[in-house]
Amino acid sequence: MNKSQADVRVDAGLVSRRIFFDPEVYQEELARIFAKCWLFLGHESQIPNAGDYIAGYMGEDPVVTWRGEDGKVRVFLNSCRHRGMKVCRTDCGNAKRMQCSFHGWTYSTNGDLVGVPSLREGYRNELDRAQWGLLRAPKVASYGGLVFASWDEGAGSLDDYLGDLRWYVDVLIERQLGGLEFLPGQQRYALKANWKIAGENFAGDTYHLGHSHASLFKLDVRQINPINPLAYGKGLLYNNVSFANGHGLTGLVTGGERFELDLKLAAELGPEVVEYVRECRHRLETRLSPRQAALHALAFGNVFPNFSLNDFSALRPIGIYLWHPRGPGALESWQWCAIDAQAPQVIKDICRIDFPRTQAVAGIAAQDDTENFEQVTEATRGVIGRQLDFNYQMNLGNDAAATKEGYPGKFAPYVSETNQLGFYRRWAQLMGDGAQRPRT
Amino acid sequence: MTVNADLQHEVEQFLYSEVQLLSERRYREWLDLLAEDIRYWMPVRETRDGDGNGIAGPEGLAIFDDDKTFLAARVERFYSDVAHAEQPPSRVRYFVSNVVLRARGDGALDVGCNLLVYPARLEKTESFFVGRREDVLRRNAAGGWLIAQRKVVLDQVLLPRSISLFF
Repeated sequence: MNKSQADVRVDAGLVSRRIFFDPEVYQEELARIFAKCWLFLGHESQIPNAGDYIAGYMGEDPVVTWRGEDGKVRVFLNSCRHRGMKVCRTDCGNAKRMQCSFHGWTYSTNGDLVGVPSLREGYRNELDRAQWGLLRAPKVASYGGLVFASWDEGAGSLDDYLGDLRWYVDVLIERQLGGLEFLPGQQRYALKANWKIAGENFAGDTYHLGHSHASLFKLDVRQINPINPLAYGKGLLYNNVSFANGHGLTGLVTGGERFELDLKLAAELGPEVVEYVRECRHRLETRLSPRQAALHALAFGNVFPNFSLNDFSALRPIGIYLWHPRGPGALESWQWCAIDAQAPQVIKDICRIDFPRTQAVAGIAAQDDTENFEQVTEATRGVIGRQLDFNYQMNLGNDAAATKEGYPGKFAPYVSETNQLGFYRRWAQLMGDGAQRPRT
Repeated sequence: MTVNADLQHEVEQFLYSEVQLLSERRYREWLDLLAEDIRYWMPVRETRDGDGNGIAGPEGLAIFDDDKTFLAARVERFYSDVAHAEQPPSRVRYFVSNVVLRARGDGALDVGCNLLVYPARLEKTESFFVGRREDVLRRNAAGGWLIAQRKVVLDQVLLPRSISLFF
């Protein structure tokens, strides 16, 4: 066995199992990926008013996304600059100030340190408060209301980071008559699995659908939902598309069938819903190109490194997923359900019950993913197992001329692992020599 | 309906027998205890500023929001041989306590109880789910009990694992 080979060998379709186990690789990931990349934090609709905030994480660093009294959204490390206590201990709310519960240092919505107990007696009024504001992420931007931040002062724009993926994400964003709205609340659960297993799954793992989720296809699908989610699984021509920065979309249908399917299903729900689907289409046609309008919806996707989504239909919920790293063998899944703020009530109600039933903490799809993701991780940590490679050779080499006229991104056969290799290519670029160490 | 020691005892025995069905994976028999029009609901929980409960409302996000038809679909999925999360099956222990009864005007009972659920599976996968259940029970035609409504609120914000069991 060659002991000095790179951990990611895209041309050979091989990825070392070491990177799913090694604590040093994990620490390098936090520094080279999670402290550098644009990371998703939430949606502007969650913090509409001055002072509104949501707590979250960038990698393992707790952060607060806080709308200032000037209306601007800022992202701060959720840690008092005096002794490091979390200044925000709630998941969401509204505050004009955040006061540390430890010694009482107090910060305003723009991060300024505005209150220090015993400033005169303890610091003789000499503390330079301007130096001790909350640490602020230098880069914050949103795309279609989706808020991202980066710790990297030198990071390019969010638009550049998303790159060609924007052409597709625009379909999701522009289809919403009233804009995206996140349902109140979120699901969170822990998995004893490496974060990359979840990220690459959404980036491109079509191969697992028929087997991991075989139980879904055995059900009488009419039991699941008035909007038969599995109607989207049959007879369509799907595409996988990958992008330069490691992003991947899978299950894309370019022939206009998703719209036709929505129309058919809408007819069962009444004229108001048919009209709604037509309005969505009309909106796409007036705002985007004909090819984009024909897409109607996306499918699965992952924005590198850890922000996944699914969007199959104007009649189904949009699933928003974050895979927070929690050690080489652990992650937290944070999940939201997004809907069109102006969807008919019947569709909002369907979305609200559909989301928890499928790709969600108790959903009939996610349960089986958890089992697989955890046992992958368990079987990889041993001294023998971690010397092996994972095999990403499916359809390797058959995607050389993988472009589709008029569509951005690299196209690949629906059953392929090209998207996953794109994910790991980007991973290896960012890790640099952190991913080139001799194997142990 | 008058709440007295006999009724308390009877309802507690019913709750114990119900979770025994779940422990033994006798899910089809368990479904028979549920009313046809049940809403089986578990809202998500958050730590919210100014809201000590942090329980999502009826329009918010849920962990379960099932009717009986979908609960039956979940059951059939568990009995299929390809529901990998429960194939092989987990071993699940249920603890029910702090049972409080309150008579309702419509002849039914509000029944609250604390719940500790411990699933263990494979070699060493284990987790705990802790919360409170609020049921509405009504008499069925045979003089037994039917679960007409069920709301479960877990105390955990970050759940220990995905959920492949019933509460």
